[in-house]
Amino acid sequence: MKNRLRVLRAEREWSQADLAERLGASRQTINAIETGRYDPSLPLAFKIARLFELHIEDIFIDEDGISEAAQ
Amino acid sequence: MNSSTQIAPRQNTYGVVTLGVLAVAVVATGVPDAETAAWLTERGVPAALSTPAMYVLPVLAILASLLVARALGRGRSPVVRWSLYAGLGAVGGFVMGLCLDLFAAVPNIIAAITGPLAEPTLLDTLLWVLGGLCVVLGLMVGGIALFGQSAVTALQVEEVSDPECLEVRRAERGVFAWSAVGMITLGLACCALAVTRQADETVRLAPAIVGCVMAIVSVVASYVLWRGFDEMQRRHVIDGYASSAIVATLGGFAWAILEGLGHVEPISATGVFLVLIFVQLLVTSYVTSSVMGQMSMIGKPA
Repeated sequence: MKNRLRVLRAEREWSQADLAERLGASRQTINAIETGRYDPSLPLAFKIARLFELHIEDIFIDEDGISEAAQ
Repeated sequence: MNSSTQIAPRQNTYGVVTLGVLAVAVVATGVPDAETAAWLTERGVPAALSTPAMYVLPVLAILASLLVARALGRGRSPVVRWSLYAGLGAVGGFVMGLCLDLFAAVPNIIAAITGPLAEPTLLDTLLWVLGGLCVVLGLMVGGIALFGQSAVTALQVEEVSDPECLEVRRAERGVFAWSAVGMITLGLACCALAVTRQADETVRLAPAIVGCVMAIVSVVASYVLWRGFDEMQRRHVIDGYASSAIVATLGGFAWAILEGLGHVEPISATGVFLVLIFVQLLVTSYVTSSVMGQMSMIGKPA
């Protein structure tokens, strides 16, 4: 699943380590989410959304849903 | 916008140099393998040539395996790169084992404490190899715990496109420290088991107790790591061990079939232990590398 985490983080000038500390996750997990190698659980996704004061769908892009809607 | 499409500056690392130096240090502890030396002598190779060659070849083999794997894996997926490093690294290790009996002084030191050890069987040799591997890996991870980012840069084999991959926070060092404790004590437990099997029956209790204590410490370290893991790290562990269980179960079934047909001997508890640990090390590393972006010591399982 694609996401805008790196962009949102960069806008706030946070390092991966900074974001990891705010979320109570490891820096490796942040890196894996940003590079699309790991999809976070719902609780972590909500936590990310709350931190950036956005909706989940503003951060994570449901590509399958978009392609199904297009069809 | 997908962040993974962003291009970050590449950063050089020094893993090949560091592992080359480590290979030289390990080679320096060895003596030429008697069987290989005799084989070379039978074919007319003078000792003046074969002896230095048996020290130089392993280092060249290790360096060549790293460089070839890095070149072949460039631009490929983490799983392909991991497979290349594992496969070619195994070839380098085989050359090293073929040329030299490593850590030649260790048996004498142990013999001074426990008395002479019996000739190692294949299982004993594998226990020593596994024990040595775990201790070396544990020391490398311990180096990251002690020295942080500079150690990661020194151990990272590939250049990295994500400099944050090399960053090690102070809080993360505890994870590496416990991981190092777990690996080193597991290695020492394997060595203690080998000593228990090879020592005279009258002195087996002491190494057996040492082995049990090391195994307990290793389990405690794994538990502490598990408690500190977040959701992705726990998923890596679960995925790794689930895959290991499938591989080990299928392997056990294949062995049982061959045993039923009379082609192989029944496997002992030591054999089962060795197979399980080797499978876990390989499969968990593979699973982790398939998820982690960069091939890094950070990607190694606890």
